[in-house]
Amino acid sequence: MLTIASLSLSGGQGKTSLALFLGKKLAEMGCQVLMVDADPQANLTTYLGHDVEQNSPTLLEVIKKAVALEDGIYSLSGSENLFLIPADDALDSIQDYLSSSGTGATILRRRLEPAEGTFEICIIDSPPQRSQICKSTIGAADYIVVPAETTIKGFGSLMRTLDSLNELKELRVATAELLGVLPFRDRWIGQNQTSESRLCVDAMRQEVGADLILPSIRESEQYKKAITKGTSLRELGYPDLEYPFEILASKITGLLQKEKVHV
Amino acid sequence: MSEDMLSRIRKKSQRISVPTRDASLADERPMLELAVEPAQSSTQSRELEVRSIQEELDQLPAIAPRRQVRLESEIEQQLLEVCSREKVTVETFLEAAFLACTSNHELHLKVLAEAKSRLRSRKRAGMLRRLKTQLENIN
Repeated sequence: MLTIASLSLSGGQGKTSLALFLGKKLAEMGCQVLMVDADPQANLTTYLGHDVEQNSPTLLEVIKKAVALEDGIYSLSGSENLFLIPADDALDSIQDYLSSSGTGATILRRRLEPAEGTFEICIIDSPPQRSQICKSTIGAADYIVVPAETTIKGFGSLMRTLDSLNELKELRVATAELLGVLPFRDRWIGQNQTSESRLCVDAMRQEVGADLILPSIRESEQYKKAITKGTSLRELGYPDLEYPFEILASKITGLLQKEKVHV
Repeated sequence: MSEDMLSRIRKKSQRISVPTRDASLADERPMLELAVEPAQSSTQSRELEVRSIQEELDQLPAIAPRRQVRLESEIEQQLLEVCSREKVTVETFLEAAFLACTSNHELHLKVLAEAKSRLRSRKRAGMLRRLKTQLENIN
């Protein structure tokens, strides 16, 4: 199972949108995808149309080992290949458990191990803070994708995120590689990119190298519409807007193929 | 791929029950809230807001008068870089470092030893500078 984390240490950078559209694209391509909502804001859970019942297991209970992993996974209507470990507000309370465990950065990885062999891809929507849950997400990931708004805030978020990733790798509690940076809300007026967006994307390119800059998500209301309606961008009549996710999904399926060959 | 696990997940109509989750903020320190009384006029509303902000300020720790601090150049540069990167100020970094020392005896001793060593170097440098000035004045 290839585990990909959608990670940014500032809010509003497109983590959940990335996780959602990427997960759906991979499921559409025939991969068995396990989505993990690791953000107590639980937007991914909401966007996937899952209602969390008070006494039903969520990621909180999975991490605490109060339930078997299987009991925390839910199938989703509308897709045979998409599954979810949901979250709700109460996930915030996991911080103390993770920090007192002494091995918080590796707990989520261990909890997800039973899913190997059942799911091909696991996508984790990380919370937007340098929290214990975030560390555990980084520790669980094989690859990180960092969405970042094409603004100063977005560039700053990218820097902080990369610093945190490197810090955990230096401590040897994470081995995740950066799979790509996804410029988000890239502003274009007609055929022209705005100066701010261009400067920020250039700065991102200088920071991580051109190979790791993915095609950007243009600023567009259609993404929100697709999320609200629970449809794909293609179904809304905007197949071109799916391009960044198609490229990323191809990268990921390519990695899966390599993994299968080595095994 | 384990179709068994997928089948079990898809078929789960009876799911295991867990205790009700508590997402309340009851254990947290009480959040400071601004007064939300409906204002009669914009002047009253502003006065209310100013008063409640003052109440909030009164609960925050007092800040001492500005103090000039002279650091070794290289350390100052590194400290400023760290603070800029981590988005904290030098003052808050020093406060936090001091508090970390007071709660860790071993660290406290280590820092004190380093500080005393640095003070000895500074005193020696001061003496050498005075001596140099005296020699130059003689000449």
